[in-house]
Amino acid sequence: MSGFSRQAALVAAIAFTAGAAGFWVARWMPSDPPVVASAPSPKTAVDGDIEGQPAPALSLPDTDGKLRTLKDWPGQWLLVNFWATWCSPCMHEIPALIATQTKYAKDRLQVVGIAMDDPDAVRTLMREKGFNYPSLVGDEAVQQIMERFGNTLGALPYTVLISPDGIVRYLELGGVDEPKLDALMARFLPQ
Amino acid sequence: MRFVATLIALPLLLSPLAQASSLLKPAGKPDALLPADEAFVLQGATRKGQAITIDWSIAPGYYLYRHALKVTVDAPAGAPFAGPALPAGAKVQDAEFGEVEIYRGSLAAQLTLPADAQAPRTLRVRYQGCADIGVCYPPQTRLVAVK
Repeated sequence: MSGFSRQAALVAAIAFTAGAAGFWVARWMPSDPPVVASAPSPKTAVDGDIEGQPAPALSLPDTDGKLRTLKDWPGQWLLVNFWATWCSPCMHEIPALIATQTKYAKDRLQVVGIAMDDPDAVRTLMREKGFNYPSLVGDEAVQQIMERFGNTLGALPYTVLISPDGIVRYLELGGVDEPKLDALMARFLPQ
Repeated sequence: MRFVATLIALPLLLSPLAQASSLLKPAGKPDALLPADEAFVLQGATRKGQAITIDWSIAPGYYLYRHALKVTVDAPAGAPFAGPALPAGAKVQDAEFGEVEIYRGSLAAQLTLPADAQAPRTLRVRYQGCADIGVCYPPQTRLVAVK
């Protein structure tokens, strides 16, 4: 047998042994599938494919009952925040959203809330918290809109940044705070 | 030679480690959230005599609010009952809502039927909860047949 053939045979033998060992380990060691099969199945809560895509169209009443769409704020960066009065983490982030609206209005940022809630509860809370940005309101329609924006589980809070050309730039499931929003604005808004 | 053998064997030897590492991912990642029906499993409503018990199983890392739980009779409309009687929940201080009671693990809500009254066949159950990672699910409303 030539030197090359001996090497090839040795490599094949090692590969076979390693493969057999790998098969044995995979066969007998605990692995993901049995765990997943017997337990609840976590799912991807946010479909990030929407990032970089045009924002889906939406039409919802505001707290005065006037029907609004995202085209009502042309040429603006839109920070769309899905929220509800029954959602504690949503309540917690409102001061940060108010501060962000104040700080970045000069940079053409408009915060727009979308509440999955009763309009009366939303109006009352907006007064109490001193909202400086509008909120649209709806029930099941809001859940459908969130799904189109990539939120597959309907969990709140959920925040979406849309650039003035109508493209979705960023998605965030869960609460945001002022430092995080500052970082987001520094990353996306023109300096 | 050794290099070639290592190249071939390494991925095979590391694959169990890769599998193990996926189990070590933090459970708190939002992209690993359960759908509401798997986070809060409504197991059914069972009648024994004059009592109906509604049971939930709640996944680890999730909780239901006591104040958000409501039960009404869907059919026959107007069938009377008392309750739901709810066990004491764990008292927690919510940053926004103050002191609230929550349930983890499991929950049994009990309705009491008056003697000689028509028993409910279908209940309308509304509940709402959150995940510890800091997101909340919309109120869930389900129709439940009484067994």
